[in-house]
Formats: sequence, C-alpha cells, structure tokens
Amino acid sequence: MTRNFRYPFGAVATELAQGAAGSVVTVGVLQFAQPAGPLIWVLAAVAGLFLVYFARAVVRYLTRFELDERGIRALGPLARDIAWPDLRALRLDHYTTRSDRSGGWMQLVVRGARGSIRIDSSLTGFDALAVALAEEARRRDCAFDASTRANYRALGFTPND
Amino acid sequence: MLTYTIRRLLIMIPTLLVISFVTFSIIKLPPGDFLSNQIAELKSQGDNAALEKVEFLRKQYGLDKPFVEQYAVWIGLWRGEKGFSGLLQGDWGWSFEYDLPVGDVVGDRMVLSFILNFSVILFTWAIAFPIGVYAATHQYSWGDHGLTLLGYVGLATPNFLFALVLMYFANVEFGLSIGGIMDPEYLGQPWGWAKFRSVLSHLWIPVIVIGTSGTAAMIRRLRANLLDELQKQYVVTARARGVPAVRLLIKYPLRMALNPFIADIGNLLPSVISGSAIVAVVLSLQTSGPMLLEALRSQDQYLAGSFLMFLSLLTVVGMFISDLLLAALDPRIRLTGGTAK
Repeated sequence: MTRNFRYPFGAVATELAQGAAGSVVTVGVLQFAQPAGPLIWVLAAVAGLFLVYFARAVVRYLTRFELDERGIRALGPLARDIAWPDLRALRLDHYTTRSDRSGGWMQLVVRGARGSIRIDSSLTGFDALAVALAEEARRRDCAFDASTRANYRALGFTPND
Repeated sequence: MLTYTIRRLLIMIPTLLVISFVTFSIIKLPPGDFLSNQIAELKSQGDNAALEKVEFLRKQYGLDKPFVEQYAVWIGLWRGEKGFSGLLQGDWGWSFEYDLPVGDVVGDRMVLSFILNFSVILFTWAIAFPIGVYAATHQYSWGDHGLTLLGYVGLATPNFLFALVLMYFANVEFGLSIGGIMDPEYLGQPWGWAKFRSVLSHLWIPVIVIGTSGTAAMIRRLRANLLDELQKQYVVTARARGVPAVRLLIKYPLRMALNPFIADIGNLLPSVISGSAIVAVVLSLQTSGPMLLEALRSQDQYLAGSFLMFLSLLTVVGMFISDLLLAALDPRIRLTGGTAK
C-alpha cells in the first residue's frame, strides 16, 4: 500500500515569510544604505542564503513523499527515488535555536546508493514515516549513530544498538 | 542545517539591532554629552574659535537632533549631514577626546587586542585540553589532585593580582620590566617584521596572566564532563567488549566532552577582552581595554559606542559559530528541555 506525505501549507508559509523578510531586509540595506566594502560581501552572502531558503520552501510546497513496499520517493521539482535494497543509512538529527534546547525540529536524512532524501519534522505524519523507515533500516542492518538512536528514542522507537 | 543556519541568522539580525540600540541608549543616558562639557569649559576661557568648532561638530554629528535620529545616523541607516555615514558604511564616528576619527584613534589597538586575545584562547585550549583529559582518565590519582589544586589556585587568583605579583618578581628578582605589549620604539610605527617580533616576545606574560583563570575553569569543566561520559552505559559496554581504551576514549566520550569547548567560543572572546582590560591597565598594554574604560568615563560616545558594538558583534558572531558547530557535532534531542514539534 502506498502512503503519501506532504508539508502543510502553514509550515511552508512560515519559511516563505522568513526567507522573504530576510531577503528584503538585506537587499534593502545593500540598495539604500551604501554599506562599506567588506560588509557588501557579507550582506550579499546573507541575502543569497535567504533567497536559497525561499526557493527551498517553494520546492517543499511542491514536493510530496511516497512510501511503499518498493522504497521511498520524493516527487516534485527535485525528484529522488530510493529503493529499499539501495538504502544505506538513516540519520535523525534534532535542531533548536533556544538556549535551553527546548522545542526545535527534527530532520531525517535517508541515504541511498545514488543520493539522499531530507525530510523535516514539519511534514504531516513525520513520526510514522520516520518509524517506518527505521524499521526498514533495522531489517537491512543499517547502522544508527548515537544521535540518531537518542532522537528515535524520543519518538518512542528503539532502534538496534 | 540550512534551516538551522537561516533561523539563527534571523535571530542574529534583530539581536544586533537591539544591542546597538541599548548600547547607544546607555551611552546617551548621562545628562549632556562630551561637547556640552567642552562648551562650558571653553566659555569660561572665552575661546570663540574652539566654540565654533564644537558647534560645527555638534551639527555634523547630529548631536542637536532627536535621539532616534542620532541612533539611526550612527548605525548608518539614516542620512546624516554627510549622507549615509555610520557603522554600516565603516565610519565609526569622531572621537571628541582625541579630536580624531575613531578609526584613527583605535588604530593598532584592535589588531593588538585581537592578537592578544586569540593567543589567550589558543593557550587556554592547548593547556586545558590535555590536562582535563588526564585528570578525568586518572581520577583521584596524585596527578589529578595536584592539577585540581593548581586549577583552584588559578580560579581563585584575580588576573590583575597575578599580573602585579609577576611584575614585582620580574623586577625584584631578575631586574626585568615586563610591562607593555611591544618595545616602546615600535609604538605608533607601521607594522613590520621587527615590530611583530617585538609583540611576540612581550606577548607571553599577558597571555599567561589573562589565560590562567580561563584555563583552570576549562580544565574543571572538561574533567567533569568527561567523567560523566566515561561512566555511561555505552562506555562500560564497549570496555566489556574489549575496545582498546584510547580508541574508545577518542571515538565517543571525548567528542561529547568537546561540547563545552565549542559552546564557549561565543563567550570566550568578549569575556577575555573585557576581563583583560584591568590587566591591560596594570601591565600597560596598548590594547583596546584601557581606551574603552577612558572613553566610557569621558562620555566619548562614538569611541565607546564603537568599542561596545565591536564586542557585541564578536559575541553574537561567536555564539553563531559555536551554535552551528554544536548543531553539527551533537544534534541530539535533550528531553529535559522539551520535545520537538
């Protein structure tokens, strides 16, 4: 049975707003405040980063993930397909910008023989997808690093040690 | 990591704006300004030419303008008398005390401060890392006790007192004067190999004086952190499976114990710079600390403001780098802090 997953518009809209706000502020300062030489490069790099972030949010909105007995597929502008026999590694990271490390988000990286798929925890049904992938990885004896094991335990799943 | 980097940048930009606003507000808090004091003094002397210059400066730097406008001009987001000319444009303003542009007044001092503080950080890490690892892996040995005692002495001794003691002994016992960060003949001279060598030969004293307490603190934290890791289940399991001790130590516990080193990058730079100010006064170092103190005392607002903004920028950029490194090194969830959404 094929299961479909998408990013909700709310999560993507936040990223679009962040990317747009960052780009407008940095390009605005570059355009109107005539900053000094080295600052131009710093601001240009930051503006570029915000633009990439904005573009990535658009790509996310257009992407959906398919999971079935053959493997996992990302369908959209940056399509990728990882069949289960090609599954090499799974990594689950946790990031937070708060000093007490509360809140934050997770990122799942599925590595195949010919590329990888990155999935953020803002995806609807992320927990189920992450657990399904971990079970598949466990069946195929993929190694989990210490961070991935700890983060999976937080999701209520115990991977092999 | 891109999402993380962007979110951290989004926090960093308003943080810097708030810091700059608070810095400017604090500098402007006392009644009057440097020029008001000057005017009172010049009026009593009847010096009309100097009075005109003071008025010119007041107009040029917008000291007669509303507070918010002065602030916006200072950071370079608002057009002043000279067009856009603030921190963003590389114009640090005018030092009223020295009657020179801040950039010219600061001159070598920022470079010397950077060399000194970078050397202190290297010294701290180079000494603390091997000692911390040794103390943790040889817990309660004679070496551990001895190094712990030294650590406490280092922590408990104020830097300026240590500087005074060193100066006294160097002078009384060896007849040496260890003040200054270079030989006097190189002061104000352009940089060259000879000047650089002179700085290097004078550097070790302030590096030891300023770095000792930080080194001691770092040893304590690394030892405690590594001891915590070494007692965890996975280390016991690996030992039971016969993993060689050094390989086991390097593979996981040491990596985890590195976190405080990386987390400290953000705090280290500003604390070393502000902490070294009194030592710089005691040792007559031509670094930025004593000048910052003097600028704050005399309400030389652009000089003080530029220094404080520079320190804040170092802190914010340092925190940003350490957060990125920490996120890359150890992206684990801390369940005590909360849960991921």
